[in-house]
Amino acid sequence: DPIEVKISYNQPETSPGWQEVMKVFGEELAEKSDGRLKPVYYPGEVLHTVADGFRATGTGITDVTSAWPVYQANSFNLFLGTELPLALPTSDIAAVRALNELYPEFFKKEYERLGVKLAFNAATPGYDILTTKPVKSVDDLKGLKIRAAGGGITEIVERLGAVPVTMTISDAYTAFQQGVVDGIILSTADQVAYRLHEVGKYNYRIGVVRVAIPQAVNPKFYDSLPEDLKTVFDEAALNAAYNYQKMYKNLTASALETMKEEGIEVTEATPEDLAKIEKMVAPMYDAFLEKNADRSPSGADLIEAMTALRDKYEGMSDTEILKLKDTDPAEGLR
Amino acid sequence: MIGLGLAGFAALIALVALGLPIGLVMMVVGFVGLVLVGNIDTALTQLTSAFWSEGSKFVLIALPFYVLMGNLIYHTGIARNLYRAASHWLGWLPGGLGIASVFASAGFGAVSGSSTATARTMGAIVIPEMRRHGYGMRLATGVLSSAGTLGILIPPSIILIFYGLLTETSIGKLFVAGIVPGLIIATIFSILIMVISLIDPEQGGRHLASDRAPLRERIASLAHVFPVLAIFGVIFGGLYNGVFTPTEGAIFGVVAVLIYGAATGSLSFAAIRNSFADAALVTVMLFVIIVGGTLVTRFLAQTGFTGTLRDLIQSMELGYVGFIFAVTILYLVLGCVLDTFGMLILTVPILFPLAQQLGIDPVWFGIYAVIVTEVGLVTPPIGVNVYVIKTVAPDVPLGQIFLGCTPFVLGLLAFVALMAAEPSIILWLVGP
Amino acid sequence: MKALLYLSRGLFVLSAWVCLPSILVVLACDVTLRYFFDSPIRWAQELAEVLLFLSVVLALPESFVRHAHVKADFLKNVLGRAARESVIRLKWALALAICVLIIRQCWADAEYMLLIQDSTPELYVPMAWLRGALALGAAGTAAIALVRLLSPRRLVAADGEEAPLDGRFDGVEP
Ligand code: NA
Ligand code: NA
Repeated sequence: DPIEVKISYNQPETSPGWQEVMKVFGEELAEKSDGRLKPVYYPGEVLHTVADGFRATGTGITDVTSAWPVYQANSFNLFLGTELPLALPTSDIAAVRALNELYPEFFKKEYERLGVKLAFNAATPGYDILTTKPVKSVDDLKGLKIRAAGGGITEIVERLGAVPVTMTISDAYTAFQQGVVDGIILSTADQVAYRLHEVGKYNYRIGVVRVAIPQAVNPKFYDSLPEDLKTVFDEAALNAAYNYQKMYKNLTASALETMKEEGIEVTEATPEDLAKIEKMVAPMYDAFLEKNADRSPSGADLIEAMTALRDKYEGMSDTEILKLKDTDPAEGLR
Repeated sequence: MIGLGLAGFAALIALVALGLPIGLVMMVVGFVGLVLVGNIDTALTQLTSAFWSEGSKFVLIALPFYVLMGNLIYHTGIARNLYRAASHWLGWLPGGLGIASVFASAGFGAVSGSSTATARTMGAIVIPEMRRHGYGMRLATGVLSSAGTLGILIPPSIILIFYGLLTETSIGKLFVAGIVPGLIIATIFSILIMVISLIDPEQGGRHLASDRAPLRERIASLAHVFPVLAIFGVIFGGLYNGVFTPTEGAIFGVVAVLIYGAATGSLSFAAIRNSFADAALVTVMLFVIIVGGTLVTRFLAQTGFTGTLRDLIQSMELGYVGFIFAVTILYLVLGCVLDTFGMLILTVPILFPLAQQLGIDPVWFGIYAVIVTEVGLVTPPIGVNVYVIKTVAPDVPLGQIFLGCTPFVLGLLAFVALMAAEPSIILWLVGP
Repeated sequence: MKALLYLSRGLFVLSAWVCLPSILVVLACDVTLRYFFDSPIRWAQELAEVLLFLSVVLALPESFVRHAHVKADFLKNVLGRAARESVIRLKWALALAICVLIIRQCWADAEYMLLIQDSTPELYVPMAWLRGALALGAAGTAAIALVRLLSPRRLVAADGEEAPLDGRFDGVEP
């Protein structure tokens, strides 16, 4: 009898995340297992909300789904280090490579404490700021009201001199249109996905922070798989991680194309600007280090490892990094 | 598995038909279903997490506060003044008081979120007046039962919030989209009243030239429209000037009514207290349905029932017109026995994705669904608005009231045909 | 029953006259500060959500006391009195069952939430407390349902509707 794998996802069937990552992952499981693994698909939040991802995976409501620390921030410590400004590499591909390398030592214990195992890592592209008022340097942000999703991102907005405003994404479009907020901090790809570019006129590209969006697997399900199917799962999961990042890379490129067509002024942050930003957000690092000083490994260990990886992959092309997937695949994730 | 879904759906309908609370039935059927497709642990986890995730949604805040606003308005006497002003200006037309009540209901709709509340409030004021002026009670009760629809289309609107919550459609856009159809339907209703009054003067009542109020009095009566305009202005001015979001707008609607009440001394402490209590009860009542609906939807999705039904409708290749026609028939049938919320929660999770595949705009579909489900409020055997009107006109037989609603139901359906043929009627104000 | 009605009433006072007005005040302040002073309250939305949740779950028992439900009653006049009586008893039995399940699961949820230190992001309101509030609302409802279910008296009134609960407070507009 084939083993059913319930794959659920928050976005609808038509979304790129479903089409290019989750569904492909299911198909790969079926194919590589010669049909012994049988994916059952639940896109569009039909089984549970994305905020319930950990609970849904832990109890077996689903087998694989998004389980994002950002919705349970207070249950995590070191993991929140990934959401420090400019912590992860600027390449989408390199970012997931770095997460895979950091996970076993720094994040695994925290993540598994919530009753799940990691299926695969992923991260959003860096967050940029889309505004209705001209923003061409970090100084222009001063006093602007910017919708931020909460947590670390809210603090970043504050440290950059803007006023963070919390609101649900469903209210954000109207609020942006009517001027309740002057801007939105979100990845360029998602700015277009939520059609916010219809309102915004200036995209200030700072890529200031990524949000890690790992997918979890039900541990009972995973542990019950025979060894050869575990291998199938591991391979497919690793591919899915990179598929997620490739998807985002393509989405960003097409979003920038759309913005160009619609006449949105896109400004890439200059190195001087980024240096300035780094200085402005530095206290967030201090707070993180202090909060995680007594932990083992400590916050300082994580920052050191993250910085090393960032510098290492900054010097490599995506093609080179992708080759590492085969020669030096991620180990110890589960 | 599909058999299980079918059985679950049948059990749901049967238990609802018995007269058990819809929300409770949905929770029970959803829970039992989730146990059967999963196990007791997964079903239990779903049960409590649905409470938290649905109950802590920020947009849900719009619900209690627009209900509250309507409750407060009910106590302020705004409705009576509105009607007086409308009758001063429109009373001379054939069926004039009926037309006045239509526009007074539309005006009241601008500050009230509910159809039944609009029918109840305006009915209690208008029906005795129309009776005094010799109008036929069939026309009077029919107009007032149907005019509740205006209360729900002219924003704010609890049903549109409910739909927005179910489908994650922007509530701000839904609100804006309701204005034009509301005004067109008010016009259609007015024409119908004039035609009926001309064909059947028995229904049209006396309209004597001497009934016309002097100009000075008429202009003075306009002052009573001011508070409604002011409150509506606070909400929409605030929205358009970027002061607050549609959800937060509910809060400021309440604040505006409270200020008006304090300034005019028309709100007693007891009235405020009762309004809050009623808002809390209405919210929990609808909330239980939302949670139950969530559980049922999750159960049905896992049985393949939803998918199969979707495929079935898809394989019929109805196309746009066929789909709208079929769905309208479905709502008319369901509307015989279910109320608006029950109908939406049962149908929208299935129909909405289908509508999207046909390229139907979510905002358009919301307005459409609200209008066709509203028809159910005035069709027999169960028509909530008719029952409400019956309480203010106890001597009019139910059959007469339902009969009186018929022309207006046809008017609503004619409008549905119009908006299906020309979707831009709904969408031009909304923008992309 | 009297004590239960007091409990239900007390929870409802919290729901309608504490939680809802608090949401009003919090959001009105937040919007005012945001619009006029460019300094919104960071935790305003979160607090409003928590209060809304509390308001809803604490009003559960009172919604049953006052029969505040959406229901279809077209069979009301078709069903005989005995059948109506059974339907009403069935309602209370189902309510009791669901509420007992909710309480059981709230306990399990709370254990997990304490273990992972789950709390709301800005205000650190422990999620376990919020499950506690849900359990409280469910417990009140369950107790009322049980008493009603065991009542030896007829529950259906002459008009086919359920008779009001003895001694309930009725201060709301019809
Ligand atoms: Na309205
Ligand atoms: Na009906």
